[in-house]
Amino acid sequence: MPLICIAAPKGGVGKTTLAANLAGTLHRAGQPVLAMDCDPQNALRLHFGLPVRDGAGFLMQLPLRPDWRSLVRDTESGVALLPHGANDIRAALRLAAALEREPELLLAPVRAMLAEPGLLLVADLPPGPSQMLNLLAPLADLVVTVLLADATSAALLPEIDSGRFLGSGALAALHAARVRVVLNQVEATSRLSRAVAGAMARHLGPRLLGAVCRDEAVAEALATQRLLHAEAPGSAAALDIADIARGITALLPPLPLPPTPLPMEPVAP
Amino acid sequence: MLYPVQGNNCEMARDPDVARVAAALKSPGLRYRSFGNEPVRGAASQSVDNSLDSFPLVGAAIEAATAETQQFPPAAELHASVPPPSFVPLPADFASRPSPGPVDLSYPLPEPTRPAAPPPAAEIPCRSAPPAAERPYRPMPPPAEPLAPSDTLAALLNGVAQGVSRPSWPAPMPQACCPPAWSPSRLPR
Repeated sequence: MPLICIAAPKGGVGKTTLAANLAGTLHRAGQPVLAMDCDPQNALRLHFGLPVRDGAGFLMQLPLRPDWRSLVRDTESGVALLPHGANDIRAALRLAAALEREPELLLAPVRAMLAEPGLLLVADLPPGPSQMLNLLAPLADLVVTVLLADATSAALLPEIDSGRFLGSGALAALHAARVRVVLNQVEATSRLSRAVAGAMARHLGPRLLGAVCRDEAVAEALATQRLLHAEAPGSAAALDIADIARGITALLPPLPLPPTPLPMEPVAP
Repeated sequence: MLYPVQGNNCEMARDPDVARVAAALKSPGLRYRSFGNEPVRGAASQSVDNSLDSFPLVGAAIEAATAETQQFPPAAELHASVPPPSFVPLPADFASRPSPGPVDLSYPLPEPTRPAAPPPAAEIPCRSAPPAAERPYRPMPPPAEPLAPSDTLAALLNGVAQGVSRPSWPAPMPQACCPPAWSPSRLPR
């Protein structure tokens, strides 16, 4: 089933926030969604109400070959969540080395997830080029790349256009065809934001999936550990994100409905 | 652009080149005088997007990205599941076959008939519905209304033609029919 990678060539662009809210919006549209946090900042869980001190996760356990199904967390939003897991520098280096040595540590469980009928997998990737992105981009149906309407993001457009940002060597240009861009935190009152966003819109054309306005409601939703559509459903940013979710669904192949699940005990968050 | 200063001499507007020279020489008062001549740099060489003139880095970035796009043009097809168009070779004796002759235009052609409209979209089955023998596929959304983009994107796209039109969004499922939280079967496979 489809894999949507949420990536960004640089940090601090609101990638994780957009990943969480897109996952929630796509689930509300009727599709079962599994959100997988591949970003070592381990922040995706916070958008879904998991406690700050809850450090359990999936990615950090990859060297131990865990059963991913046993680590899926149910969330209030209905989105199933695989947190990254708390980590430190040693654990992060150990994970990077293990993935470099044995990519199947990640690819095998991801392929199992993608084999679940009707399940939409949303992966929040680390900012910048990464081994995660290098491994997952070839499997992805869509790589949603988040940028800001500023000069730094504009300067990264050549990396996106060439596909170098995705890695994968000579195949990068091939995977670049699946890249769509979202401009985040666009400010209509800022001359620079308007100029950059307008220039990017003209340059990207249909590759621009959408734009999200700067909205205080986004930060407030995270502060309450709720998704935007639950905290401020009528906010301008929520409407922008819903529009982007529509664009994503339109780009994906038709999805079969999932089979009836077996009765099971819920996992406490 | 020229404008007269002090007699017959003319002073050019402070374009980026003049500003750079002034900054390099640490002479903010430096002016360039054209002495009434037409500017060498023609209008065609000016930046296409005047709004970026104030932000040289942004303009340079867009130019670099455009160069990358020309080097690596994005593929037209997005999804790998879309098969390439098939090519059916002509039969070997095609060239030796007799010509079909002229077309008889007097032959009465039947009125073209439109294909029958599909039945109205059935309701999306709930997960609680009994499992069918074959999993139903989500019906295609009706191509009724064009989708109005969000305010933010619409403002950006003011005057920018988009290459693709987005299909409409399937109607949200009623709450009772919304899928419950997906959970995997925790049995290892």
